[in-house]
Amino acid sequence: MSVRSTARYGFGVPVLGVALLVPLVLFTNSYNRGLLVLIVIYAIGGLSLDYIMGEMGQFSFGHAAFWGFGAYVSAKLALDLGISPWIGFLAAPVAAGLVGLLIGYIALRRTRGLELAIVTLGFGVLAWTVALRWRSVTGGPSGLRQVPPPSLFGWEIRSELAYYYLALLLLLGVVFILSRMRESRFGRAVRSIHENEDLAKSIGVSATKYYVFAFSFACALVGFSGALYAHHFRFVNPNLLGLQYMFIFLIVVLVGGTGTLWGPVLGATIFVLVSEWLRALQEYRFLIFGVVLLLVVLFMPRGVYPTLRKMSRRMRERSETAGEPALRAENRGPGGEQRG
Amino acid sequence: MAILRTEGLTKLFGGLSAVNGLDLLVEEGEIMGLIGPNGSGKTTALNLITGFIKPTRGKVTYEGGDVTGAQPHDLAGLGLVRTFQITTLFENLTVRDNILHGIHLHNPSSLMGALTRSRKYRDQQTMMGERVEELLAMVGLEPRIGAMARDLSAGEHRYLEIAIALAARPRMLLLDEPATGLNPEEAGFLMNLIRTLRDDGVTVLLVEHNMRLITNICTRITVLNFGAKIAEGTPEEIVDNEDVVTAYLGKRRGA
Amino acid sequence: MNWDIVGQQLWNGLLSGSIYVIFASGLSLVFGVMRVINMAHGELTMLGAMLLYTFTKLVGLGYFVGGALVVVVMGLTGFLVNRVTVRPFLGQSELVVILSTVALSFMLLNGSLVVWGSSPKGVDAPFNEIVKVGGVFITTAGLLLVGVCFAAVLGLYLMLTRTKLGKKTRATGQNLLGARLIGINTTAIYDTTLLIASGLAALGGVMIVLVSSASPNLGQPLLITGFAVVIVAGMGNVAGAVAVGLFFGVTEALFGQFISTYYRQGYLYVVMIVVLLLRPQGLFGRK
Repeated sequence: MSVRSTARYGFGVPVLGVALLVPLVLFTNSYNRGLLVLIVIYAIGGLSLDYIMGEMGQFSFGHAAFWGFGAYVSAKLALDLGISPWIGFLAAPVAAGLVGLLIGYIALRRTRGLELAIVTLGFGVLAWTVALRWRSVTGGPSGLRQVPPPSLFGWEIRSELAYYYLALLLLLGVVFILSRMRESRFGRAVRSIHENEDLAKSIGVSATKYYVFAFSFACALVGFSGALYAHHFRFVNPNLLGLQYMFIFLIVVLVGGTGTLWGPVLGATIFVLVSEWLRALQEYRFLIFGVVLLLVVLFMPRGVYPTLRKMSRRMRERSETAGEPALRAENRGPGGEQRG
Repeated sequence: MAILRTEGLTKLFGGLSAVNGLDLLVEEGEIMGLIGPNGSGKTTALNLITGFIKPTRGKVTYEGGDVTGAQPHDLAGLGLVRTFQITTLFENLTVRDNILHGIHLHNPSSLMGALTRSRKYRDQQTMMGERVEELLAMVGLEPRIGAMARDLSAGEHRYLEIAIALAARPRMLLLDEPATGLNPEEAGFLMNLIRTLRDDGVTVLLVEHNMRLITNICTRITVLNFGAKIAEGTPEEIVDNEDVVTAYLGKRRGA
Repeated sequence: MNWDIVGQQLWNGLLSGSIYVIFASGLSLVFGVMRVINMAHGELTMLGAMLLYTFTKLVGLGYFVGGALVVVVMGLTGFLVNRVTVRPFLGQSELVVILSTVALSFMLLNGSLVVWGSSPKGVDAPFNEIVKVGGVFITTAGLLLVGVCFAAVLGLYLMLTRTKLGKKTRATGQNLLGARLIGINTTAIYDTTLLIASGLAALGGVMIVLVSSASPNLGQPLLITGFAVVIVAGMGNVAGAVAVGLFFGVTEALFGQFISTYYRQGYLYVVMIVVLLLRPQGLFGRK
């Protein structure tokens, strides 16, 4: 592993250790382990929203609709056709990605920024309405129950612990793919449009094409997260497509920090744990969430993860004189960059 | 042979014509200057040629093919690359990354290669790294390879912008007022750079305010006023042209 | 076809259309002037309705006095909204401002649920006679609603086109930097824009309770309909929002009556998507 990747994954390594051990030591009952599964699922959802926000510099208010759609696709396949959830885990992102391709094509040809946010909001609400009304397919407001869990060698993964490790493995895969994609031709093209669309066009990047595919990719990823949700919590309903989850993903991304791979993972952890601690407060919980959210945006506009990283870097700089390469392109100083 | 030709190129904004019936002809391998007072339609003409705005009327031919209304990225793919009047870089990236992004069209790597970091992919990356150094050496920015683009000086900004454009391997380069904000020394370096490019076979269309730069390096000059062509010829002819003196130089003297 | 039913639905559509008009014009104003998507706009209308309930039922004020007080209080709230959730974030990305208004909407909605509970609350209209015009039943309270909504929007239009403040406001919306350069106090313009938009939103809430009940949950669906109106009209185009709001109200009612009550809400989004496909900048928007 090069110096750079150690730096990039630097936070990840100890965190991974904690992630592997925590259900064995701390989160020992099945309810608490369920929370861990939720963290991982939200983290994947948050990562996909952050692909739109951090990599593309855009925003989709319809992101939860793709999450719910992915959940429904996989659940329907399993319930109606008896198709294995493993296939569902593949089919859900494919289906969500294809719908994302269509909607991305409609929306991204002309709209960007705020307009795109509102346009995707429209699509999201339309999808939610359809899910609510098309009873014969979606089960109406109460949704579908008895979604089967995946099984491995004839053994159903019902235990939270096993599902958590499965989801964690998939999360690591997602983070790995996302980090490698950044340096790919595709990733660079997307980033160049984000940085400066006119310049990107002038050097031959087809802005619409790349943005449509990037959007579709993010939709596929969130659809995947939705399928993971469906087969663990074993139900789907139209609320999964609604604004509530949209806000959750948004909180996950912004609390964690956009444009940072591990930010949404941290954001999901904070969100799930804090909302669990606030559970005792019942209806006051969401009120407090609003306040917390506002305070986070106010005092840590770039999110918790970048703030923590900055603090740790400052501490490291104090303790040693030899500078370590900074973590993000943005913070890299002159000369600190050469690598093979 | 003409590499670029516009015929009757017209752009109306509301009722006003920003560019009016422009006939422009650029020969392969020359450095053509496009000058005119502020608001005479130079930048609009450049935007029309490079597909950033669509013409109301008229035709653009590049290397013998009709490219009227084509998309900027498609034109870049054909080797028609531009720079911008206000320096346009990927401000939040390093100099190195700026060029790497500029290589897009000539980046051979596949997504699968990037995911697996295959040997082939790594070789491609090494080659791209060499290309970056080569391009930076050309514009004299090698020592700044690790700097953030936004930390560069005005002159370095311009050089980097040109290097990004060169990364796309243009056959024709359209430069929009590249000397703006440069001191005489930097402008001199820029002139030499443009000549080198021409010698390497790149045709250059230079939109410029700086008369010294234009008359020094251009083979031919076209003068615009109020969106229309008022003169065309060698630098000597242009400097002596009455209309040009009134429209452009005269105005300057009065200002 | 039963023309009485058509007439009745036209009337019903006019009622909901008037609400859409007053709601969407405020939403559009904020976007047009400040380039801010106010995700809390629906909650401001909701607060208007809930405060009216409080003022009339619990404090004992009359409908008109209570309504006027609501508009004043909510106008001042709009000023606060600007200072707390919009202004501190304006230098940053547009998304951060969206997020802060999302946070505000979260707070307002859940705070209201804590204060008032989720059950709908009725408010007594000042008068509520039913008049039969042809075969159509019209309520006097409904007439008041339509009249007030259109008067308010007309007032907004006149303010924007005829007054100095309006001209400054439009200048700010067209070019913030330019407006500052010619000496417009854009901070004050932003304050008044949110003050007006918030007052309009609350007035919408005061009107809603004439034909329906007040509930903390009325804001969200309204916000979403409001966005459909604003997109179809063209973002930031207040006059367009009026035409589209009215059109949506009427056609939605007819759609619900003759085609499907079930997909009534979906209808608006299908229209929206068709418009986006054919004319992404909206019907009245410029490219």
